[in-house]
Amino acid sequence: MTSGLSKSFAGRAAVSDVTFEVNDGEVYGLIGPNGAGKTTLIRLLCGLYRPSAGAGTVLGLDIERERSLIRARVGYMSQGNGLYGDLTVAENLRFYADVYGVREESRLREVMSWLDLGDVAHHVVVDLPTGLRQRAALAAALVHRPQMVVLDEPTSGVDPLARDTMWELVRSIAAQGVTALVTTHVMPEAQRCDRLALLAESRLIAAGTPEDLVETSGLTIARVDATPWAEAFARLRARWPDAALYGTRVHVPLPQGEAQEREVRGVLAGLEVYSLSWQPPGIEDAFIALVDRAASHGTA
Amino acid sequence: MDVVAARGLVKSFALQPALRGVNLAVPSGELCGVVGADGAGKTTLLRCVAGLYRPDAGTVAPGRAGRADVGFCPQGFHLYPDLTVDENVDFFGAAYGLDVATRAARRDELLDFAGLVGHRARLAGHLSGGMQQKLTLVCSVLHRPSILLLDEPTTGVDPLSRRQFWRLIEELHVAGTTILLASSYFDEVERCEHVVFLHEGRVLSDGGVDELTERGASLEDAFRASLSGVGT
Repeated sequence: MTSGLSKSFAGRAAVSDVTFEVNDGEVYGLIGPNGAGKTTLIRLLCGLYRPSAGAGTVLGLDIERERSLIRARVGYMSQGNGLYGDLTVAENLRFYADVYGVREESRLREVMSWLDLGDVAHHVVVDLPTGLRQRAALAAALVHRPQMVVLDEPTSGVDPLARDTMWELVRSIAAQGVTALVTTHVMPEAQRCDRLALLAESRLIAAGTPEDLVETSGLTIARVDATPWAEAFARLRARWPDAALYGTRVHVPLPQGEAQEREVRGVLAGLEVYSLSWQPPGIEDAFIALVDRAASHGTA
Repeated sequence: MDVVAARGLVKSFALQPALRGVNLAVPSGELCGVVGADGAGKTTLLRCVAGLYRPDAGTVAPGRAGRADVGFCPQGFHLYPDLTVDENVDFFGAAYGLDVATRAARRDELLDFAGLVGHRARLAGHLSGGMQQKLTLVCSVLHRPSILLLDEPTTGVDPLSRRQFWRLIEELHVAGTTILLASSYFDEVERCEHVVFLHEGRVLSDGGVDELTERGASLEDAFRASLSGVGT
């Protein structure tokens, strides 16, 4: 979908040489630390910015020359969610319908019932809990029957139960063949995407399924129960700065390898280790390892 | 000894109950995590513990009487955006009644601890979200409280900043601070010794992570299971 795409602002690269492809009907996640370039990349794809270099297509349309066609076929839900707080849900949707030239009133009802917004249609947006507000914003992005939706941090500030609902909706949109491009920095949510691209310091540093990213990280997690736990933690942290406490248990992300168990036990010599087990890393561990690795390779 | 405790804690706002009889016991030095959806009562619980709200019924400790020994790190940005990092720390130090020499010493020590030394002269409003959270933490522990209350400290913060923030929590925990953390992230409370599931003003269940996830389920699954147990 994009090839060598770059964008700089005042000489500072926000997106550098990004090449990736998203399949139809896929839920594709863009992840990365703040300032990695996620939002800039999205805005390039939606035709809100012009690229400084490189090229890209969205739904087969050129992101530079066919911007207006892209905007007509893509729904965009921005981080601030883009709704008018002092209008009702229905009024907001009607506004978006007008902007996109959607004439049928039935489409509004259809979208509202799809996203289960019927009960709050006449509620003013600011009065709604964040989860419902985000759902209304998603409805607004869907009014014009886009073939693709771009969701910028759709669950930001949303509580755990509402987050679940949001992801189920994203899944149901994809099931109807609408491609969803989603940014997030909540890692357990990234796991719900079909595939992911990991951005750091404006570059794409890894891409693939969540399992691929975990695999690429080459990590394994040692789970250590030892007594006294504070001493075990202090020693492990001194040797491996990413060691983390889980209750009184210490998790140590380590590169996969034969000698690891011996080394962990060596560091803990003299303490009572009553359990040492291994588990695969989570997506967040993988994320941090990959970003750190990219940073230590610098700009080379 | 339980240094944070609630018994039958009830608190309503304009007849809308926020807490409906909460029992909680956090022994000295424990890291305890409270997890729940919006409106579960997490913030109200922390504010009662901090003595900022007076309960309608039940008891709470430390509460109003023990406020001097509590550090409260509120949700969101509560610093002065138009003051520098140094000036903010100094302001809070003065508010806690620390003398000038102590203020300066703790400021240096804690800014170093939080990795903010290089940013002392920057306006707080110009810091990244992650740095603002760390500065808020610094300001809440200037008086060396033995109890620290953290209200959703990493909401909206990216994974790298979250890792840095957790390193600070771990250091305070290892140093013996009793910590009560409210969060809406299950992977975050998983790092606590003791987890409390709060829903609509009630404790659904609580215990160690291993206890709550007995059947190999994730903490989130365990939360859902206790939700269906109360029939909501």
